[in-house]
Amino acid sequence: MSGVAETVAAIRAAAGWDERVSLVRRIPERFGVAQHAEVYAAVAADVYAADLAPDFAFVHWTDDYELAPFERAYAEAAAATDGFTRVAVAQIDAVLFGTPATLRVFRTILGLTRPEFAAGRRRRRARAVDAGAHRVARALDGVRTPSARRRVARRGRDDRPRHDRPSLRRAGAAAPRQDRQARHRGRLGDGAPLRRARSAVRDVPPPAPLRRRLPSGARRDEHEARRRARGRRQGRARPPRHRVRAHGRVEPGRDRPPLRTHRAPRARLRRPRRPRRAARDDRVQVDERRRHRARQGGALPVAA
Amino acid sequence: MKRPARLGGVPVFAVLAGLGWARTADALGPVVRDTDGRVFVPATVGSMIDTEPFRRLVARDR
Repeated sequence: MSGVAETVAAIRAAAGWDERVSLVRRIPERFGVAQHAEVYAAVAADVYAADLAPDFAFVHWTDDYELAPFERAYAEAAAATDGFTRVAVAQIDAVLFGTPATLRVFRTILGLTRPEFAAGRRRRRARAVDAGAHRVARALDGVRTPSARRRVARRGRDDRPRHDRPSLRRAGAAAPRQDRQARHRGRLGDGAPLRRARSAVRDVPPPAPLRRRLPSGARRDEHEARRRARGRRQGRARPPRHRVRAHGRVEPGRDRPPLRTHRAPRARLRRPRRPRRAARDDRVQVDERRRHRARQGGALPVAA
Repeated sequence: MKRPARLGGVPVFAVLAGLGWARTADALGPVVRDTDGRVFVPATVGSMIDTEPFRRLVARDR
């Protein structure tokens, strides 16, 4: 693709913006449509991307930035910097390595995203982080799906073995193992916060067990309690009225008389069935009543 | 996006900030294409005035 490289070089070497614009305009003439994306991406990467700077307007919306964890980190950061007054590089370094959670606070104060934070620390000792961020950004070019992007980002972060990464080397990871373990303990703290938290909640009663609801909406435990009380009142729990078997077949419960599956003849006799009338007869009757009421000058019946 | 008359159409300018634009294949590249390379960042936005058609407009004003 020497043509692409030449074009990019020509655009980079352009004397002024007008010349640059005219060269970019000529790309569709020089290259086929299939090559356009590649050429424009190459121009963007070589001529324009170097000028990009971090902007200061975005905070990630993640659980780590919810109020409670953030307040904890903020308190740590404030305590370690005397209320954000001791902010020399060495001090910030010490705070970040001692209590890594404070990174969220400083990031938010600066308003930087993760790669932007890395870029913002370009002049500081996070040079390796910065290089990693750039490698990630470059590797992500053209990677579309989020999972693929995450995979690439993980891979591109830092290929070196953990003990060889600059941050840990700086902290002395090459030191003997015992020292490393001691430092790890120091980083975790002496367990005082955990003990404080435990003692604070010692008197708090344990949470109520999860109470399930029946399909009717009643609490299962209340339901059981009612059943038990009823059973006590009657000497024992009442046997179920009926049992539903397969295919909707209903059987009487234990110690129950057989179910009445048809209406008793006496009940049928008590209420005689309404003689069947044609709908037409009803309509005739309604019309007649309506005419009668109209003749009387009364209101029309709402319902006949 | 596609100006029917590439010369003489309305010139489009882009002023970008943030490292998200470092994605060139699907972010910055298309912007460069659609603006004919008139892409500026806060550091270079001053030179926008030296680009057509702004230069011409300034000259006419004086």
